[in-house]
Amino acid sequence: MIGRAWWIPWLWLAPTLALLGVFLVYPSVDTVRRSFLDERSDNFVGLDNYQFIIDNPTPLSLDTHAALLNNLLWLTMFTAVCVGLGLLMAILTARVRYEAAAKAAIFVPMAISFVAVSVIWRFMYDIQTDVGTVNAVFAELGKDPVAWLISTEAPQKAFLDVPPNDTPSPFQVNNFALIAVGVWNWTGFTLVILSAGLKSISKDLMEAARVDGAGEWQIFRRITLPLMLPTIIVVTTTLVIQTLKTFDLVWVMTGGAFKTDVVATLFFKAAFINRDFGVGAALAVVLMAFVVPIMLISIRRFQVQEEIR
Amino acid sequence: MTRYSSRIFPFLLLLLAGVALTFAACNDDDDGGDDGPTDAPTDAPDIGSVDVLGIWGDDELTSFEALVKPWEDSTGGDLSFLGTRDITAQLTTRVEGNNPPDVAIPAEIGLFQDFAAEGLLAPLSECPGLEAKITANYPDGFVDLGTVDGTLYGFFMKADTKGTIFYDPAYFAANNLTPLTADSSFADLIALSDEILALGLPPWSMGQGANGGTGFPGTDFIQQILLNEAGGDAYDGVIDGSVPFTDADVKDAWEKFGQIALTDGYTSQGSADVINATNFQDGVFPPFEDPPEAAMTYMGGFASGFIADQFPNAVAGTDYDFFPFPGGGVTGGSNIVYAFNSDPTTCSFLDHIASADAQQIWVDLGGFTSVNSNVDASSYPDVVAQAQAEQLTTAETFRFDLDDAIGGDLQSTFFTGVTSYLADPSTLDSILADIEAVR
Amino acid sequence: MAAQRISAQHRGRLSDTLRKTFGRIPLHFVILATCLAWSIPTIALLVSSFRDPSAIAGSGWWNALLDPTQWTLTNYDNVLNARGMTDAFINSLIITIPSTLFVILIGAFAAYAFAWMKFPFRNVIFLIVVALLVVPVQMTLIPILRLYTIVTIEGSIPIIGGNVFGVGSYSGLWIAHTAYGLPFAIFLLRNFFGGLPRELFESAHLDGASDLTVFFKIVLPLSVPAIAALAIFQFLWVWQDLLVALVLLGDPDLAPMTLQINSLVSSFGSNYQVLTAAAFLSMIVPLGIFFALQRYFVEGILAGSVKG
Repeated sequence: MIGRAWWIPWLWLAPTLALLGVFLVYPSVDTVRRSFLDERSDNFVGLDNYQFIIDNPTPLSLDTHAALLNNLLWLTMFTAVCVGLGLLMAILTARVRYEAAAKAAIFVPMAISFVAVSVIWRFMYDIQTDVGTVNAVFAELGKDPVAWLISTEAPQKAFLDVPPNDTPSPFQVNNFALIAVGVWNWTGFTLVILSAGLKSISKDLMEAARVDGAGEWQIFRRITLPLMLPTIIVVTTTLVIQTLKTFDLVWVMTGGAFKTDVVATLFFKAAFINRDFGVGAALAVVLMAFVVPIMLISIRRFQVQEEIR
Repeated sequence: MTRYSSRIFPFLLLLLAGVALTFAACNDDDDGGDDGPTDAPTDAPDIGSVDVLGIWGDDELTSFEALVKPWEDSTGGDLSFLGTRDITAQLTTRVEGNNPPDVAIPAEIGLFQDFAAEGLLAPLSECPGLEAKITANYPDGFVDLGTVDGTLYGFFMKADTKGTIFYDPAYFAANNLTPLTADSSFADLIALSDEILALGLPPWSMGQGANGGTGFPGTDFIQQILLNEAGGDAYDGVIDGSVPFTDADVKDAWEKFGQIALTDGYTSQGSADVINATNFQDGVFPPFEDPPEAAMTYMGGFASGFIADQFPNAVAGTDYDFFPFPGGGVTGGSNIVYAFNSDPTTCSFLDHIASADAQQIWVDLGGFTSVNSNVDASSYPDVVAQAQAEQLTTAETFRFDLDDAIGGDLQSTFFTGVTSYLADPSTLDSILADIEAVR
Repeated sequence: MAAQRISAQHRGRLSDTLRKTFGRIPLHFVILATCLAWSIPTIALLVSSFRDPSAIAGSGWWNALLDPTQWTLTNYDNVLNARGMTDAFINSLIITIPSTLFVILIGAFAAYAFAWMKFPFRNVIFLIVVALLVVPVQMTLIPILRLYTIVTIEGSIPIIGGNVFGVGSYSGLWIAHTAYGLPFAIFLLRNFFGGLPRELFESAHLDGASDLTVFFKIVLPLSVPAIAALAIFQFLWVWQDLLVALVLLGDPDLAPMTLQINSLVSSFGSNYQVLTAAAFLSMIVPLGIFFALQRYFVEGILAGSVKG
């Protein structure tokens, strides 16, 4: 573009590179290093820690397989619902006068500290029908109360008496119950960001299309969606990566018990409760490795976007 | 940017000022008092502050601060206390990060033993007079627990008995039921349960749910049974590993626990799922509801605090009381105090909180049982607290809480094992093998 | 041709009328139903904050709606009058505001460089920055604590307190929070900056504007929605942080509200009902920021900018 000295971009980037290098890169490298050492990081053990994750020898203590599967469930379901719902509400609320209030209602859960979230959802999901909101509704409808955070049964069993009784590992009632809490909490995030993205689309463009006779659905498909795609991708990517780190919610609500563990809670247990930094680090590395396929997809999209600009 | 900034800042400032004013207006009694050096007049030079990491909050914290205040007043020292229930993670992080606190006061001793073995702790002998004081005033059992490789590193305060079964004396009296004694047997407990069942009331109430520690009440129950049925040696063996979890005695203890929890009609919760889902505090309340929904509940001595909070009109000893777990053996937990250095401030602080005078302050405030033998048993605020203290100090056989003694991975696996067992008792053998495998 | 156009207009007008009369109802219904469903747990929390602990555990929150005598201010009283809560509130502000401002500033500089400057390895570095989003905070705390312990400069800063740098210092916390917030900030802002039309920059550069001028006079004003969104979330996340403050501050005198509230609950979890009241009190400021910044979610900022 303009002729600028070669060192100028680096100057603009300097604080970022310094901060990220110290606070994020250095600990990551240190963690990778520890994943090849033993519990107290004294001796080299090669791939033993990774072998532990693959073998899953002590499922009662650290169930690595269940955690990995649960993470996959969170990655897909949680992200899809949050982004989908956020997008829908961003578009719909843009058309009403009480937009700010509507967005606020969905955003408020994000402002509630996760400890308070756990308190209230503990009571939403309580097994006693005179205390637990959801089970109270179930009782009104004549159904049996469900132990939402404990039960590992197939999810549809909670609502309808339809077989199968047990579905493969991650598809458990309690996982879905936790994801529901997560969605309740995080949709405000997708909503706010997508709303900001929506506002950046020129209104003139949409008006012009309407005048030309385009229907709402067409406007959405041909104008809104393509122009919002970059923002949608940012939100989805951020959320997917955020989901990988999901720790607080699961930890505070179930402590990972009853097969609701995710890799982040396992890592916490291994490193900070069992004081096994080898396995803990290996789990953290596995977590970080999940991000590689996401980055690969982003690279391709990047190259496409670069060509357009 | 300039156009908007002239509008953002005044708005935000107003908002923040408004909220800050609201807080200031509502908060009458907060002054800079505990945010800087103590303003109590003192002649002694300011000996600095002591950095303590513990688990206490709410009333516990207030009481602890009251306990420490005389020390602050007389030495000019300053208590800097951080309480978190995730103390194991905190300690691990800070120790690994080369920034340990001065003093730690957790409730499990597994980590303590690890730290001591690694040479990270300051032996109590490094503080002048402290070790002698502890060995003289504390029961041998507790002194031994605080000793690692022959050196004394920690002492105990705020103990809790776990050999208590709570019940409503009024209900028992009205139905001609006799509470058990230390000489009773487990069979007597079953007989009592059947008697109550015949009256039409579920004899037990039980809840296993606890954030991050779901299953711990079951482990307390099992260890009590183990101590009383198999004896102190077997118990010790389980802790040090010479008796594996797969041992017949251990299995028997689990099965007896299962008998209480899973026999049809025995619990007001009804099924394993509900027991697992019921919060442990909620599981304590049914015997004291009006009308009672259950007759007995097993929980450690700290339950009397929950009961008093939930039923503010309940009178200790009349509306709620406990009888000792059949067999006479008592398990209990306690907070352990240990230090990472032996600075003068730290030593002075430790000296103070180990003393009977200081601990008396908390005893008077309630919710605290001291193991310092100089604390007068009759000074406890109510009959139940007094009985608990007596049980702890006079028990023939006393053992520290099993999972707290082991800590770490084994402890959390033990918890999980309980809930798995309740959900499916037929898997007991594999559960026991799994727990043992983690050792 | 004219006939076709006229009938198209007719059709347009009919569907317009239909749309105006009935079309809005489904819209309102969906929005309101969703908002209601979302609000139920929030309302449950709010109602619970006005109830006694024995009531909360004893019966569902909806019972309180039917029985106004249950309502009590004890929980709020306990939180507001808790020792040190005012100071903790101010500490939270001291920690959060600079962290938010630094992240926006540093992140925006970097995002602009990634979006509109050419330099080697630009894309690779950007992807690494985004990949760093995945690093869990707990993992970084031990190495960072080690580092901080070495570089701690003791001393007492006037007014705000704490050490000059390192453990137990506000500056250490600001820098840590800024670093943790950078990947998201850069990811978000670069996306918005990159979406600005190229012509804008070309005409500006033709007029002789430097990078800094373009940045402050063109890019930032046009990206206000994105910056507002970023500010909302960074503020929120730092405001709610407990772990980083617990580990890196380690000093209860400097504790933010989250730590102070945490210590209102006993080691057994008793007194948890104050958490309900605390949640709402703690929510006021972030929500205030949310509402205050809503005005910047304005449309059509780009309209007219290219033509001019």
